[in-house]
Amino acid sequence: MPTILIADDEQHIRMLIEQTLESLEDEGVEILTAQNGDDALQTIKEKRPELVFLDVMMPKMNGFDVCNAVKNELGIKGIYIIMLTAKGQEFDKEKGIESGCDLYITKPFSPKELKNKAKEILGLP
Amino acid sequence: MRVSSLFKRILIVVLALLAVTAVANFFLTAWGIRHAEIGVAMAPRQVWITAAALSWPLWGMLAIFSIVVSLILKKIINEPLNTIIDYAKKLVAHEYDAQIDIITNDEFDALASILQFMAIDITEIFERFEQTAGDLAEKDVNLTAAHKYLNTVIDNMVDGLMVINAGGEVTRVNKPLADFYGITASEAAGKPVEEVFGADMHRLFKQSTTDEKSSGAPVTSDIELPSSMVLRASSTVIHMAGLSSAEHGGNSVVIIARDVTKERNVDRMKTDFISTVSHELRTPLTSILGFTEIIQERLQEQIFPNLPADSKKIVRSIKLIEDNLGIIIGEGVRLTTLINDVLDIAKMEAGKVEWKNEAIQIKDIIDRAAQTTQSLCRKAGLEFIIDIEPDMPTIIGDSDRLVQVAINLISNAVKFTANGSVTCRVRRQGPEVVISVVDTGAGIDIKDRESVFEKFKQVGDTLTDKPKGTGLGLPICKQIVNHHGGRIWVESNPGKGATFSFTLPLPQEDSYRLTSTDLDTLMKTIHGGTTAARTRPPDTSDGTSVKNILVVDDDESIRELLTQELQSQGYNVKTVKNGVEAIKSIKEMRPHLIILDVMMPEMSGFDVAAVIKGDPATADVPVIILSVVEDSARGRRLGVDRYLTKPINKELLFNDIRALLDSGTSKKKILVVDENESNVKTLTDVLLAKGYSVVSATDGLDSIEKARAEKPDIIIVDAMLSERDQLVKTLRFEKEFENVYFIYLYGPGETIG
Repeated sequence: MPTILIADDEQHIRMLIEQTLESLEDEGVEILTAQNGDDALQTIKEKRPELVFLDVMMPKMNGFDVCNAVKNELGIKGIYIIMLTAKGQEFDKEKGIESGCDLYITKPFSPKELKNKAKEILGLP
Repeated sequence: MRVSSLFKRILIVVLALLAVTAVANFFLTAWGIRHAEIGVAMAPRQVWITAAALSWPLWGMLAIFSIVVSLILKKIINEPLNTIIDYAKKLVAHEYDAQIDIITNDEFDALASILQFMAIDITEIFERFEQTAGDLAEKDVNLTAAHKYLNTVIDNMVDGLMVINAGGEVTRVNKPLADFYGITASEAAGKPVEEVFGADMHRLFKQSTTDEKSSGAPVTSDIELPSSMVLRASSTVIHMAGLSSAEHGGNSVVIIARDVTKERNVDRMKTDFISTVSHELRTPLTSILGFTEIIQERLQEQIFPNLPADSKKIVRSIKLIEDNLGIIIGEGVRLTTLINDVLDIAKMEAGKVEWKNEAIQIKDIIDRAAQTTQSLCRKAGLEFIIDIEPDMPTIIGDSDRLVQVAINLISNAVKFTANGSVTCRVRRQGPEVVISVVDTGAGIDIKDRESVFEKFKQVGDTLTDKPKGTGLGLPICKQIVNHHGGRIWVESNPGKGATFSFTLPLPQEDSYRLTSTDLDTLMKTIHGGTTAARTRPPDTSDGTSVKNILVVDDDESIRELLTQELQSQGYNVKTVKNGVEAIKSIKEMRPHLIILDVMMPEMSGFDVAAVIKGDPATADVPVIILSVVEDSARGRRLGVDRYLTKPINKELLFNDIRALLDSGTSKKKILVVDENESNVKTLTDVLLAKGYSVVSATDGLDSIEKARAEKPDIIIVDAMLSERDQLVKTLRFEKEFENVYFIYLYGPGETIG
């Protein structure tokens, strides 16, 4: 059963993504959430989700660090990480890529596109 | 009358002489006849003796007469002449008030009078001269005072001032400018501007002497000093009234420089503020847009189909709900664009945009813009025409930003055109290329033509015509075009459409043009060259091939972490905890590479880097900055080789360390030799952008000198350079150039020979 982790400190954004991906639960996808970087890293270590939506600006540990820890330091394979950030600045993109993230989406994003992306990554119809 | 009176006297003397001679002759003849009658037989000698004896009283008379005559002559000629000579001597002795008394009433009298008149004249002239000299002295004093005052004013200005002559030498520097640069005015005088004030100032000087002809406007640019002070320098050509520049030896330039460090900091704070605000705005916007879209989808997929379709009221409500949701989404998208644009222009104005320098085909720019805007045109029912002059040369610039300009102009044209067409035209015009977007829309009023490029100014009545867009599109275009050294403007006849055009400078006409394929090939060749150069024998000066790395960081855990990681990779590691120790260790151990933190007590990493890169003995040691501070531009300026941000990305760090250690020295140095300066510039720009260190020369001799002095890793030579063969032969056989990689640069149509 594929698992998706949504990590964002903003409750509304978590709700938005959750509702966006709601229909995937019918396909047997499990959706998890985390409110900060520490939580996110802990959840990733324990649950090994296939797909992670990771906000950049989070308390305790920022998204870059979480991603870096997962991809570079722990070397966990088989996780697709999508960074969500409010900053559309070039250096953020570079940082994101340096930290090893797979995709970089700027807020505000379109829920429809997010859902299609998730389906594509998880190989769902 | 006087002339004749002198003659009269002389005449009298002559007549007297004649008379005496006649009397003497008479007596002599009479004596001679008497003797002839007495005795014919007398010998002729006796006759003469007798005659002589008899004539002595006559000679006596003659002598007396001569004395009388000479006395008379002395009286009438010598005396007045002596008087005049005496007088003349007095004049020579500057006794202009001396008197002369001659009352002969003849020519001497006249001469004396003339002399006296002259003396009077001279006296007057002298008096006048003395007065003028006095006036002049006074004026000189005034002038010196005025000059001093002016100098004081210039030295007491808030702004720095400098004058540069046509030859690029500094002829004057005021105190504030000297203070900005930490020098004295006399240190700068007579030296080339780039030597004292650096390349930025030299570029400004060059710009104003070349740009002046076309626009006549002053050229301004912001110059950052090593002390991180920022100067806003404006340069203008000094026009001498009535003289063409050729007549006073070319154009001198005056540069005014103002300290705008504070303003820059305020600007920076403004930009930071704007980025923070726009970041904060995005989060709620994400919720608004996202949930609206979800609501829209749910209504359309699950609610609306289940409502009774026979109730008119419900059908009408469904339509209204759909429209209203559309409006919310549309406005949300508009707000997003506005935030993006505000962020964009704030960054551009603060100089925070990192511009790319790449070889660009103008056709590619237009094609990319056309792809994006195609659907817009189709939706608006407009014909879209692309008209590009063939064989356009390659330009250097930031392609994404230029596409942004083209998209903006095209979508603007579509927005304001009800029917007809939008044409995108590209033409070469002299030293630049003109890109125009022509529409058949409403056009723009004359009064609005300048203001459309101002921020938040939109054309038309904003009360009746709801403005479309953010009002920032054209100001952003202007910033982008200006950055590329071009101009942007609009021409329009209201009712007959508008033409928005912008220019981009081309490489010089007479030069052969580097096409992008040339540049690509060149880059590949250079890359090959550096790889080949890497096969040099390893540095075995220390007897081993183990590389020493110096880690400079005040954080103990980072030092420990890096030591472990680097040792595991087989490197020798030494750590120090501050900048002062770092500089000491660098001199002692000569590390192969330095990893440097920025935020350290006492001396920052930037300062350490500046010291290392500024000292020729250590300048070639590669430096990697590893910091939480995001200022790679500053690092680059200091000559830092890599700039990485914490948290440490091991993979990236190890890759960089390997690459830098493999290449041996800090940066690949390339010598570009081409007689054509614009080619040199184009190549230099591209190579610099690719991270090479570049030296250039425009003739063979100069290049040999530069090659010996700079020891480049690669030499790129224009194949058409007249001294090419000599250059290559000379250098190829010198020991230290054995491994230098030569690349010939061929223009189109030239064959490899």
